Amino acid sequence: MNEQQGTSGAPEAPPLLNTLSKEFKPSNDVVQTPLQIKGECAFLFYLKSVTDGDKIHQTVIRPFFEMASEESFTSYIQSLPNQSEVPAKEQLFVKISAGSVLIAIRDRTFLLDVRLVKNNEVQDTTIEPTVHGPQKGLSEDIGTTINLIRQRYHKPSLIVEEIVTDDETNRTVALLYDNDLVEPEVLKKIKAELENLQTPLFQSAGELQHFLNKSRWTLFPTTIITERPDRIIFNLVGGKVVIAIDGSPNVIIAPVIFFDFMSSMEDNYRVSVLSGMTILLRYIGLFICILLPGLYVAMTSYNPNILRIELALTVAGSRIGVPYPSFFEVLFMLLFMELLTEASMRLPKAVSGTATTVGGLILGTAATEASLTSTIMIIIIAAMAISTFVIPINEMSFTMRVVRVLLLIYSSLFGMVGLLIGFMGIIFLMVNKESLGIPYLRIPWIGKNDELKADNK
Amino acid sequence: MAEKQKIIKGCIATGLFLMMLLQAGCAFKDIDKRIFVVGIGVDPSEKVKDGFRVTLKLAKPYGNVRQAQTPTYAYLSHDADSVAVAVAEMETRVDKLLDLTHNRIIIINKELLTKDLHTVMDFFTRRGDIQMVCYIAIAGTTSEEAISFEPTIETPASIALYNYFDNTGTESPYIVTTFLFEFRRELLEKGKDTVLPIIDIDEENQEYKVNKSIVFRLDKEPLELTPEETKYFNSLANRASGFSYKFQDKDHSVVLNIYEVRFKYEIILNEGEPRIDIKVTKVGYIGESKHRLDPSKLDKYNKLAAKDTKAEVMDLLTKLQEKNLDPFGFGLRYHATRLSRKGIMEEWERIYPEIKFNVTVNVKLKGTGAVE
Amino acid sequence: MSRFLFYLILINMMTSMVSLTPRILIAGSGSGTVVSLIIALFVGIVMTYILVRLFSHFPGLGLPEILKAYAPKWFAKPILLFFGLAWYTAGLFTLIAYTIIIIRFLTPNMSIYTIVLTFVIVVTYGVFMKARNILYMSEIIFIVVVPLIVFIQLKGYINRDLNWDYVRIALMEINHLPDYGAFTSSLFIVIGTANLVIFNRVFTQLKKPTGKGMALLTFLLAYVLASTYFLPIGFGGYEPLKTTIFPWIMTSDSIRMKFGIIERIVFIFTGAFLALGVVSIVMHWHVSIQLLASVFDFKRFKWKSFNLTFPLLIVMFWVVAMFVIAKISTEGLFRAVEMYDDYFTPTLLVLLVFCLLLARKGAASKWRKSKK
Repeated sequence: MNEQQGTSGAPEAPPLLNTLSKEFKPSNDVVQTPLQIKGECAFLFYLKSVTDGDKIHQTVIRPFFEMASEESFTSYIQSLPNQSEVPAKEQLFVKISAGSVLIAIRDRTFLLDVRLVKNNEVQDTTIEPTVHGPQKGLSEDIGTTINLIRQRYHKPSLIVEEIVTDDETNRTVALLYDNDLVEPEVLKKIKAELENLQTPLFQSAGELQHFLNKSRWTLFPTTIITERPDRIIFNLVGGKVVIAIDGSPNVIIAPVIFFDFMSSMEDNYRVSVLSGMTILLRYIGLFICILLPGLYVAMTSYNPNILRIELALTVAGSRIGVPYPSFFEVLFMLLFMELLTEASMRLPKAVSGTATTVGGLILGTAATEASLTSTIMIIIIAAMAISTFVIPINEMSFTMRVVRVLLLIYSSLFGMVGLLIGFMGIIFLMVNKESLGIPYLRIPWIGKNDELKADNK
Repeated sequence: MAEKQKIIKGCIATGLFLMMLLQAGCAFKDIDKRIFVVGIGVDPSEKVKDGFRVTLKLAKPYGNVRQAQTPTYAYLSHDADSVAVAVAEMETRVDKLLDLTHNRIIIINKELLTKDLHTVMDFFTRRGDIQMVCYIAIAGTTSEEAISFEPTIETPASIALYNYFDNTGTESPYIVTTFLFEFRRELLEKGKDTVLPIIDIDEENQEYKVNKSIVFRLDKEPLELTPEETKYFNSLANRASGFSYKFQDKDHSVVLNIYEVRFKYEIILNEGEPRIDIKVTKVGYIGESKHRLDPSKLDKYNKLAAKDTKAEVMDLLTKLQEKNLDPFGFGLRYHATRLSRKGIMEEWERIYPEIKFNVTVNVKLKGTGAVE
Repeated sequence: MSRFLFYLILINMMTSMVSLTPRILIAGSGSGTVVSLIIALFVGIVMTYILVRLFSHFPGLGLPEILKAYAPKWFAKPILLFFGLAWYTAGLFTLIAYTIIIIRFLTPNMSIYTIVLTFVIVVTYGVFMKARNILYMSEIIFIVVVPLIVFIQLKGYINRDLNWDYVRIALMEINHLPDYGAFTSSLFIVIGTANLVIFNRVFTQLKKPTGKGMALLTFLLAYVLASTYFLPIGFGGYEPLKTTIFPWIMTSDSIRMKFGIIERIVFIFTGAFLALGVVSIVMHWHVSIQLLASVFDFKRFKWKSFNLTFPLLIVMFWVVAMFVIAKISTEGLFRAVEMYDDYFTPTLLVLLVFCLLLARKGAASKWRKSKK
């Protein structure tokens, strides 16, 4: 089918096309057609499955037959908006397999982008929903994603830089940043990281983020993955770099600091007092979520003198008959809660409701009835579970689940003092972390951060 | 190199963690394996010579507070030659760890005030885990009785004795509150004498009765104050307000509710005879009267009330002076207003018995209450 | 003035506020502590000014670099060694003091090794953090903790049980001649600036101290010094407090939050200061380990191209710490701290200023030479 030109006795196809067809040969969707009329002729080369047939017909084939000469067709092609330079061979393969058509007229060649993208619908925001704010997120198609971003950020300084990575799929990765606001140091670092990326395959923003993070053991995410265009714009204005990946409905934002993970876009959409209250609530939630289990163990097993006597007696009473030490009690319940969270995340929506009911309500009640845990413990686990979900970025809330266990271990070993010092240890960890040279956690005094422009090397 | 560094770090971390696992957990004691002491009483022992009888009030945890009908406390008494030994020996009599950290009241027998107070107090202040905000009180009869008495209004998981002294419950000018730290500082420092409440038991109604107090100084005969005196002392020294105070208007009596008390004094030595100028201001309204009162005559009532109060205050002060006791801390003020030198307190001890009190009372009634 | 400089000074100051200094100050009361405090404040401020000024001549350089550039090796090494050991000891004292506080007041049943182990991982990690990050960390801890401390102190100051007469008695000691021990131990409170010997590496733009900054610093130092000494006396009495080991813990135990989630303030208080203590230990040992590493660069201590200097030093730190903690008694600790304050602190300050002056002279002459 792709060897038609031999039968018509038409002019020879240019050598470039031949090499191309050799490269793509066994595939069935390769099309190489000559266009001929009155001695004028042109060659087209494209992949049927990724190109828009209608568009080729409308913009290439029909004008060819309507036009009088090769010359005017050439200049017509040249003036098309989706025309681009023909790059080197390696790049050309990538372009053609991404949906470009190669046109050869005499000894000149042109590349037209006629991508047919089926996955370009804009998706609803599901991971970070808000009450106000845009309800649509990004798209799996990078072009649409960039379009969505550009449509919200009309400034010439917004730079879109496409980087084709070295992995097996040659997926397009685009860097977006505001040239006036971005810190050149950071940009340089990100580019270097992307270029040095040595992974055979990455498919999503999450994966890329994982590879960008070099050290093997990391607890805290150093880049945000988001699906919200408003968050992207917010961060672009803040001078950050957005990394979009073709095929992934999420983008990566870097560099980030800890407080970015604790902010929801909704904070900007509300009255200041209201959003202040929400932010406060969120931090309280954070502390409850990581401290409560440790606090329970430390208070019941090491320092019951911290509690009020009434509470101490109630806790002691509710622990009557519980066979295991408080540490295991918490650990069991924590384990069940984590299982429940994981289960309801993976299950289809129809079943997950049942799982939560059975797990949460029935198991919890039964566990206290059978005096496997104390009633206070159930309250604590419930409070903790709820507050885990108050953290707006999922990544951070998963991290906090791990931090919680660490603190639990530390406070089971050393009591109240252990909890305090363990908590400081977590702060130490965060402070000592960097996201592309930007300190991960520090008190952000407005206009005062220059006091310690120490190294950044 | 970086890899190796990581391996080393990992080894060190694992080693430390293992060490931690081996070491830790020795202070791990679950809350249901502890029993909380919520009251300590100390009496002189009858069995052991020069010893003490220590009574502990223990709170038993129970499953459901709301279903518990009666307070569930256990009491434990033990005789030994010191408080610490008694407590230590009692540990063999309970199956759980005796946890003293929640204790908030210490009741001391009256006899101990003149005998072995030092040893008693030493135990409580030396142990780091006993709160310095414990209340100290004196038992009307024996502290064992006071500690182990269960008043009818005591509810589960709430210790009645705490509510008397803690200002979250009842507030009455008859109740003097003294914390352990106050007790310690006043006992060991010259210049201010301690006042402790006396806990009596109202046999008829099966309730506690806390309305008397005792003033004392180390190595001196303690002085018991009557409820009235306690009230006056408390209203001045601790600005206890809200008390109902009676005065006579011709033939009938009027009761005042005072909500603000100010008490100032100054020691004057260089103007003739040494004297203490005391200025008392009380603000309040009328709480009860048999007759209709004329609001325009408030001034008259002010004067009448002031006259009465002055007499009462003078009585209290002279009584204390006669016994050479100084719960108001005049001596402390004397010490505090003079540059330090040797023998300053001896000087004061010579001055105090002779000193004159010059009391001015100012009553400011703000109204006749809700009716005329 | 950089805010980080304030953190360096204040954290150092506040850590010693509860641990050891008040005992030494109060034990020395009656022999001119008040005057010593004033003198120490004055000297401390002047010292801070001089040190900051001198260090501002060497932006971004720590003492090892400064000495390397401008002093002969035989001179630099002993001095750096001395400084390194001095800083290690300072951190060690804090560690021991807080270990004792924990075992006395928080978890009495825990083994002392376990308590030290609690610190090991976190402090080790902290010591190896970048100097810049240590400053960031100290800022976070400072901002979280200090409002709590201020709240507690305010609560103490407005507490009715705080008797100002005791404070005044202490103030009236002003007519005594200053006491050397009290002077040096309060000098230790204001010595935090000396941490610049290493932390100056981070201050690339350390400016000369401004009038406003110095005024604020003076105010803060004066407040902390005064609180350290006077507030405990107001609660514990003047004479009786001399026999308490940790006056500030006792003071905070005397304050009660009737309606707080945690009723006994002592826990919040020790928690807050423990956090500051950890930061202080991290700072001191960071300085120490950097100084010591500049003295012995164990070129031979290598394991497959990985330099073992720092791990070796930190292991030595902990081994010594464990050993000392196991051996030392509370009294021994106080004796040691007193000795440290009496001899080491002044020597250290004088030496530091001397070194810097020398280096500055060297720098100036070099500069002149290069100009010629």
